[in-house]
Amino acid sequence: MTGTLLLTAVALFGGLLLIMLALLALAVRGARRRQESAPAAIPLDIREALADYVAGSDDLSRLRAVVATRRGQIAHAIASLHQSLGGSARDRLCSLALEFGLVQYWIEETGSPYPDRGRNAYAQLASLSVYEPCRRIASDVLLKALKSEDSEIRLAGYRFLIHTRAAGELKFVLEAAISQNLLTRIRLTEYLRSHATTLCERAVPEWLRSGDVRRLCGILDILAAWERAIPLEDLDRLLHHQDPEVRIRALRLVPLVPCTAGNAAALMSALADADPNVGLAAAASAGRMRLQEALPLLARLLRSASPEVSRAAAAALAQIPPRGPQVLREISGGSNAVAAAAAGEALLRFDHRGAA
Amino acid sequence: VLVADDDQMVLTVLSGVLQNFGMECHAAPDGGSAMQLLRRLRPHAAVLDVNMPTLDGFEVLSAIRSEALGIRVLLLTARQQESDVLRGFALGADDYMVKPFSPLELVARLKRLVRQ
Repeated sequence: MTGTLLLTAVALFGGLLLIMLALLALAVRGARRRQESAPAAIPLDIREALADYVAGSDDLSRLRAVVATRRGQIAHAIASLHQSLGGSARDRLCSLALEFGLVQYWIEETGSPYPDRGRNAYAQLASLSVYEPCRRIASDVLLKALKSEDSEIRLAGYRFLIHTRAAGELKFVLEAAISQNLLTRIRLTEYLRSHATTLCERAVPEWLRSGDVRRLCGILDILAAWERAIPLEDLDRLLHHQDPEVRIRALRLVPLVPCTAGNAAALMSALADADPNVGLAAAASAGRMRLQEALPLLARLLRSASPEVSRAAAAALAQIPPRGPQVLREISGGSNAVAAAAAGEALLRFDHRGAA
Repeated sequence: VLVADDDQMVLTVLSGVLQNFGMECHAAPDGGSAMQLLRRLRPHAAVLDVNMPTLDGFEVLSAIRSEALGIRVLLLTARQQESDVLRGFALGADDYMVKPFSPLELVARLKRLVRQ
């Protein structure tokens, strides 16, 4: 009886010990994984060592000591800094990532069974692919990413293509941007912004000749989102497009393209368009361009029955001093309640801006 | 030079780079502490991130100008929309740089500002 009890006690104790060992192993593994998977806070010694390196120091001894024991942390630090740096400093960081085997580390991580780690690895490779030697090593993985079902991973593939700066690849990404979900489109639009000039040479004009209204609207939305001057000469035709959705989007671009007589005339006629939304877009552009000749039509729009159009016209008038604010003052005391309210609001904002 | 950025990594790198180029550098992790240091130290120039806790870079810049602290200001931000750049200059920024930025270019711009 005593022997049985003793055996049971030993078995229980052994089992307990095994469970504790298993828990300990799990905790150690978890801690290692947390360290590998890039903690949020970057330790000061790594920050300082990287700062020295980026500032021009070629002494890698401090960084080498760190990479031997805390590869995850240094990978995270390089990835974090890489997003903020440009020029030769960025190239130095990429070169460091290569030297420390981090490109290979992230290539291996793309196969991680943990989706977040895989996505993170693709994102880091995409960032580093701005540097040609890294791009060469990661190209197979990033090209494969284009076929992924995961939109985050596909995004890494598109960023890789953008970094090649080749006109054909940029065109491919632009086409993809139009057909992707809205979030991906927004992000690709941002990545493509610095290549606007290259894209406007051939790819964009080709797209603008498309008869597909949905795609046409997509590309016009991207151009407007770039919010930068674009060398586009073929806008006139779109300003007279039969579909008001296309006209509205084309009107938003007028302040961003070279000012031609055709564009200005189309903008003026859009201020009198039967579709109130077209008038609204035209008013916004006329105000932004401070078109003095648009004043009479804007004043007429201000007296329109729609409060929304009235407000847009008033806002535009406020941007065309000195005559625009004068018109607003005259109308703000008038009998048309909608127009007077819109003019009053715009004047308040105008006076506030002047005071600031 | 005072450098204000809520990204610790960028802050350390900026401070390191400026010190390597012989500039005395003070760092602030947010707009509020940047403002305190600016009032106390009256540096020759300030490099301000725009998106920061407590006070953003535009607010710090406004305060510098309204208090006539006589400090050159370079805004350093990821915000590259035309409206942001125009707002920065309208508030009195002496220069505006967009992230990702080249530290060497930033040093060159700062040197020019300080010389002025």
